[in-house]
Amino acid sequence: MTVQDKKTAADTATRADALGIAGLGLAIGSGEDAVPLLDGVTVRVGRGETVGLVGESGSGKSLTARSALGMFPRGARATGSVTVGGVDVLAAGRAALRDLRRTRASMIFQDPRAAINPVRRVGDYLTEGLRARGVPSREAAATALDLLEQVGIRDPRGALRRHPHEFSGGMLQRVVIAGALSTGPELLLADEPTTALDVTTQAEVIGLLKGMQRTRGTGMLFVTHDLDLAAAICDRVYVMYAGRIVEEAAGTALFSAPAHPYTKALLEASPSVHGDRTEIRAIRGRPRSLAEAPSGCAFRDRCPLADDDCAVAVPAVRAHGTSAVACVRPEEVTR
Amino acid sequence: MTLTIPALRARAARRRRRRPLGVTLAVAFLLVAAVTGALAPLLAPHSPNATSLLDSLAPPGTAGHLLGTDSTGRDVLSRLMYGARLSLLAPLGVVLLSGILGTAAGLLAARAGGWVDAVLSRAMDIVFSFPSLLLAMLVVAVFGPGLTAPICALAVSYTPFLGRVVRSVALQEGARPYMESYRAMGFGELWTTVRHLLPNMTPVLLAQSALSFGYAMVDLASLSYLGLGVRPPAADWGSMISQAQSAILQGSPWSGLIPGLAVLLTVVSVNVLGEHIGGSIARRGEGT
Amino acid sequence: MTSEPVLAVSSLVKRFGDVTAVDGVGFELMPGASLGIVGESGSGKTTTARILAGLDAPTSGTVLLDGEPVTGRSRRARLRRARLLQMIFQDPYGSFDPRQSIAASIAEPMRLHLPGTAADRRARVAELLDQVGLSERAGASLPRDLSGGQRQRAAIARALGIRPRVLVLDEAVAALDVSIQAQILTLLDGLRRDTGIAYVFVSHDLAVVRHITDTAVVMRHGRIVERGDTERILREPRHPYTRLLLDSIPVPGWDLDRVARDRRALDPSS
Repeated sequence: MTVQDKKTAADTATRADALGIAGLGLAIGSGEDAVPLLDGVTVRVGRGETVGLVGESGSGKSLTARSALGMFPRGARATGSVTVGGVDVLAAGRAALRDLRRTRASMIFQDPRAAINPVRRVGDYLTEGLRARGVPSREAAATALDLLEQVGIRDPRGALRRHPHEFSGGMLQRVVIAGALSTGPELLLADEPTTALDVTTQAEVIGLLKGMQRTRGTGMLFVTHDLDLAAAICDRVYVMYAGRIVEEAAGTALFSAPAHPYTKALLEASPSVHGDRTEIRAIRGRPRSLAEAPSGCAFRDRCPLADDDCAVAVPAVRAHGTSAVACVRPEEVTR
Repeated sequence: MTLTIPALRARAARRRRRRPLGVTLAVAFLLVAAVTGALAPLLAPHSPNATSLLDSLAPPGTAGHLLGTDSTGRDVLSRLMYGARLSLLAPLGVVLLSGILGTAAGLLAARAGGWVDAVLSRAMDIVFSFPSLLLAMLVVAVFGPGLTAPICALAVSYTPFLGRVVRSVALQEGARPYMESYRAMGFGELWTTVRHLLPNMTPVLLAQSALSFGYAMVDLASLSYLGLGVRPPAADWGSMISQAQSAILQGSPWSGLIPGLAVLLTVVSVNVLGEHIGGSIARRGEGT
Repeated sequence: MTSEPVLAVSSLVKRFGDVTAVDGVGFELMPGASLGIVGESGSGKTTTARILAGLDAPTSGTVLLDGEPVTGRSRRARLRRARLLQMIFQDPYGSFDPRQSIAASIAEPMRLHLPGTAADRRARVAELLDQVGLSERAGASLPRDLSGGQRQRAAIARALGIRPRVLVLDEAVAALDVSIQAQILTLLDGLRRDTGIAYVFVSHDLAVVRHITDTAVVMRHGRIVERGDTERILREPRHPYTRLLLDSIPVPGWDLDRVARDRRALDPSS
């Protein structure tokens, strides 16, 4: 870890952050055949902060979240920088990455059943990470019991001895959350953690997740396709489209003043239960991945405001109101 | 003409991925075996049954006898060519017959379910546990030598191999939403099974049949070797090996080794092909 | 148009062993109307849809289509039901035969249900593709070459081919991206306006149900706990479960404590 001693003053600021991704680019292959996946992605999650990463399929939101753990698709090359609690993820070796995943950052996936080994008991699952860190098994068991209580599992002692299939999806996601928090991470990466759950269960699990995060001061990157959910629970939200960040805004500002045409279009396309019944407005075309996106602004082939300026270059991110937006004419969006 | 070198290279790589060298060789060998068998009367240098005691046990490379002669002086190459007919057709018969039986039994078990499934599955288990070669020998003992009886016997004893695979694949495939969607459109079981389920299972059927072909070939060769298969003097590769026994003891292994090699190469080729087909299915499954 | 309901369901019960999945469900659907069935997993909404489409047989209760009961699994009953009622599934990819072109899949039900030559069917397929906004090229493709939204359009075209009176949509837009979901909802709106087809729209998503339906029933544990105009249900929910569902929908300033209160009100023991 001698590299870190030579960090500049600018990096000291990011070291305080739970997650700092700056100018992250990701591509599979090299030369002309390279398939680009991410381009210039910059995401910051402060300690104890909840940050949303919103996008449709192909936007690269999950890839971005996984990069925090150094998990890249096979054959992918990453450029830019990714730091978790000051640790340089892209430069980290195998051992350092393992240590990072064990102690500093945990991930929760969409499908809890896919995340837990179905033939092992829940107790094994929860104590595994602790024991790998050298915690004595008796102590690990006590911690696991305590965690299950905290995530609201009834009869936690009995739950330790049960298998994953004996739990409902919502209860199992609680177990996964307990497992993710068992190592006391600085960063929690939640990749669509409630998408597979019923709405009422989602509310419960979100409540639990927020509560646990608040008391522990864990930073959370919350990946979702659900704009309403992100806006409801996140301090800040990044909107991704085709492998790039197109807007960064405070959770509440996203709804009241979307600055990017894509964000606005998403809002207009989503039916809502609140307020008066309004017509939804569909966005033409389909979401693109970076490799399929047009030159310049990736959204321009679907954007109602696009003209020739949008094809010139990828719009630079600039401040607009309280948001930061990658659009050449955000004034026309908020008008 | 406008293709760039990287594009050509990528295209070549795709082609290589699609068909590895082993598969090409296997296909080539099987084609050669089938064609020489079919055209044996035109291609064979000698009559397969013409004996000539003067020329007996000639080693390969002898003038006029490219692969030598056997202990009665018959030309090994000619017998090999004629032998390809029975040696390839008989296992094919087994595969086709067991294919029909196994597909029918497997599909019926999977789609009907309930007691039909239970009865068919148990019946297949019983047949499965009975050694195929023993069954074939019993049948020959009852009906006398010849190929028809052992082909039928082997076909019956191979039915569970395919039947079980078909049943499990049909259960899996039948649970796919598109099968339900056809039911919701008002189509009957027979239509959906024959028009949609079966075509989607053909790759699996082909791969499994290729494996059965290899087994059948070895089993039939064993029967011929035991003198229970084809009736002499008709040639097939198994009986050629059997008749070479004495020659092997006399220090001239060629007349037995060559048909043995033909059996080996055919079985390996068919299995390589079967595995390739099976592998493509698995890859296709990943793709979806 | 008659004033008779095109679909009438009464006292529908479905038991799987000891579990009662659907418990006394009943509703009516007028021609050209749109009814939402709202519920979470285990509510019995999908089982209800499957019974309507003839994929499951009810333990008891009746389903009337166009005033006549549909019962039994005979070929005649099957055909009559399918002729009047078609279903759209959540997973548009899975609901197509992977080896068949989209156009061939769309033509297939017509072969079963409608008289006419292959040329007639080709013309009708072209008309349908156009109606749901698919190109001729998309029609010639295999399902795997289309995007999720295109596949759902194709599924709708296939269902509309034989001009049914009722379309049952089971979570038909749940697997789609928001921008695509809006396209499909807009398409469904237009189709209902143009063809007078009636929808039974099964969904967990109240926002989508609000957009696409006039009336709705809320299901919980196999029973209907609330029914009425969709707008009325959203504005003045009467059943505590409906209230819980509504408050569970995230919104800026989301009050999770209120959700917890709703839950206690619904089930005081927990």
